[in-house]
Amino acid sequence: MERRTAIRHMALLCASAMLLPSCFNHQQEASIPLQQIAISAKQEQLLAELVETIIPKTDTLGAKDLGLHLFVLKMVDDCLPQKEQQQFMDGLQTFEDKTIGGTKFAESSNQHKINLLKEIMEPRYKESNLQFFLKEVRKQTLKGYQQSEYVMTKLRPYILVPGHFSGSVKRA
Amino acid sequence: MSKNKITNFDAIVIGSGISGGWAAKELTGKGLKTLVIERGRDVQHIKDYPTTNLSPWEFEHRNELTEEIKQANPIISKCYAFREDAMHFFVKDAEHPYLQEKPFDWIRGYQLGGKSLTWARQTQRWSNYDFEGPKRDGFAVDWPIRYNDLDKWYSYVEKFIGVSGNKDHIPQLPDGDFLPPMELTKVEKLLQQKIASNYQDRQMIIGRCAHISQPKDIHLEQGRSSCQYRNLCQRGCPFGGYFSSNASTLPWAAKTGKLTIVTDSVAHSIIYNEKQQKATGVKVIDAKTKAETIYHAPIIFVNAGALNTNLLLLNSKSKRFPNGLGNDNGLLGKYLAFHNYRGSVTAEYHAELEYTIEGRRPTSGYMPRFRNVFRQDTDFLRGYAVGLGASPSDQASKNWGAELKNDLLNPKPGPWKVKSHIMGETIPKETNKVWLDDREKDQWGIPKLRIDISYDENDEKMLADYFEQVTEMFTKAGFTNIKTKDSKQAPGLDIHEMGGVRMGKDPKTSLLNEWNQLHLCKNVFVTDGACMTSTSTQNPSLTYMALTARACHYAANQLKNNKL
Repeated sequence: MERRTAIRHMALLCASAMLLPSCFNHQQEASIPLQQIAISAKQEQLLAELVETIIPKTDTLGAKDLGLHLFVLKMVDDCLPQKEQQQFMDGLQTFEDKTIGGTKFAESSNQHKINLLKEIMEPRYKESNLQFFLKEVRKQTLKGYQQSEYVMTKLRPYILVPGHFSGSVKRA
Repeated sequence: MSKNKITNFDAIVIGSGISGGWAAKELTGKGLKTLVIERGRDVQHIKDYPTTNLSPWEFEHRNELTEEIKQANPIISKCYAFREDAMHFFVKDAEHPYLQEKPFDWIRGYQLGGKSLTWARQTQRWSNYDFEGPKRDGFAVDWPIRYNDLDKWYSYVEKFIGVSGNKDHIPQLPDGDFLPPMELTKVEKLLQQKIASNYQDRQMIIGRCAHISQPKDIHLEQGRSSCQYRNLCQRGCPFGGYFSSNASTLPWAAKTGKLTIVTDSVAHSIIYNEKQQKATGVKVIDAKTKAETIYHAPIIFVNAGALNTNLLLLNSKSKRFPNGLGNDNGLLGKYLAFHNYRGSVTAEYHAELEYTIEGRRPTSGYMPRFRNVFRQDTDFLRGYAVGLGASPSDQASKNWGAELKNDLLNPKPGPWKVKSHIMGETIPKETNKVWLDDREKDQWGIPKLRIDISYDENDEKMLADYFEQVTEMFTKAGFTNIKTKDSKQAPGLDIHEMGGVRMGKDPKTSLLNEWNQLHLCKNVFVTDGACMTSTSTQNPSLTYMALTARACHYAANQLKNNKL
């Protein structure tokens, strides 16, 4: 390509990029940097709803408050082998379209949401990417919750220095 | 090389791990100006334990390995302790490549203190049933020493490092100089009783471990205090609760004013002087600049870690020793062995659920070898020790939502989880060997090590027996959901590789004499895992330390009497 033409193309590309609304990017991408998987803002929102369904806010903080949907994404992005990332993404897409009584997950009542999750865990979905996805989200949500600073300092304190060991202690 | 650099010493120790640290302590203690050569970086006690006080949530991936690290490090990633909190104490695959004839996971820790920072701290003594094994059962060669030669050195080491344990009066696992034992859990005690009432030949005990359960003056003098039951040992202990070179022997040696340590210094070869008929020094390559330095001393201790000790001696070629130092018989690098850790058995116990534990105990239950101890009673040679543990669990929740959250925050007691693993003796064979590759070299111009080590039929038979016996013991204890698993892990992952420079009585069939001196080069001593004639079943580090202390006293005396 002629140098001059290349510059002109470049300039056009830049200009068209500038014409895009500034919020466009935010709608398309997740709010944390991910290297391996591409997650849209909408999917991120759905995951936030999902983890909140798994561990809801009660008189203590829930999964969404603790940002566990982002923890799930971080773990999937960094720690899953490529093949399982694929399964996760595939399962997520199926989950997005999944309805219960004609209603999508995000629009359902809490009880309907839980019923849908229970359904996905049924044996008939055993080999499916959908179940793989849900199991992975659940696993990482639980891990992120139980090993969060909040739970480990406020609710079930982690003792860094126990100072002693007893082999038989009556449970409280 | 700086002109001011001091290169003459009374003694050189190659390696600063568990045995090298002891050599440094003993030799400086004898007034010898001692140089320790360490190939890795400096690690100072407490200061260089970056993760030691981190809480679980402070690890980016909650202590899991990322896929990127696993992909780049297929070997070291298999090691149970190579995780986010301690991976800086292990050698990454690309940092020192080697060649595998058969799968062998070579797990290394190149830093001051070596693997003594990350070891599993189990310290069981050998007995005469171990030292007499090769002779009685007709394999390898006879050990040139017996338990009596090592008894007082075991005590000497135990008193200094601090070993928690119970006096159990078991002939094949002699008692030592112990600090108070750690406690078995409720269900471990039950298993202990069930085993005692069902078997006359078996005894379950609490594992003896290099932890200070109650400090004595000697430990306080080292600046070490009681184990705090954190069980985060692999990160380095700020309390000095467990023994490592960094917390104990190296600072102790430094206090004498006789110790010099050079880090980032790769030992290339030992220099042999034909006229004097002894080794005169060590050629060292700066790990970063690749500059060469030669250090001189009348005594050289090789404690580079079993396989690296083999590599170094094989690479120490001279006109007199074209096949490696002291290697006239061609057996250097041969008769290697290890421990078989392939088997594990898990089970559950659904009673005593009202009990739990407090604190995190850094050891577990242990059953010393009961097969073929007093006589040959199976169709395989030797036997295995069994690691045994039972810990409480929380019931796993299958709920969702608020119910799940409540289950997580107020867990109901689940069954006790019972675990066991095998620690099997393997038989040293000439075919299990290492040698220098004749083409490929590492970053420092040293030939790469080629490793050819594998299991044999004896190991398979032993494994089958372990599964059968532990299943039976667990059944008799009332445990359920008993599952056996053969991990099929490659040799090496046990991190108990031994031999290649074995001790023996006859220079024709061994490399080292009863004082760990090379038969053919008396001022070179090998007291790490490379010296082992056979492996027995016990975790070997305590024996390396005792052999090292013994050999150092001998060497210092010989030097004093002008015999080296």
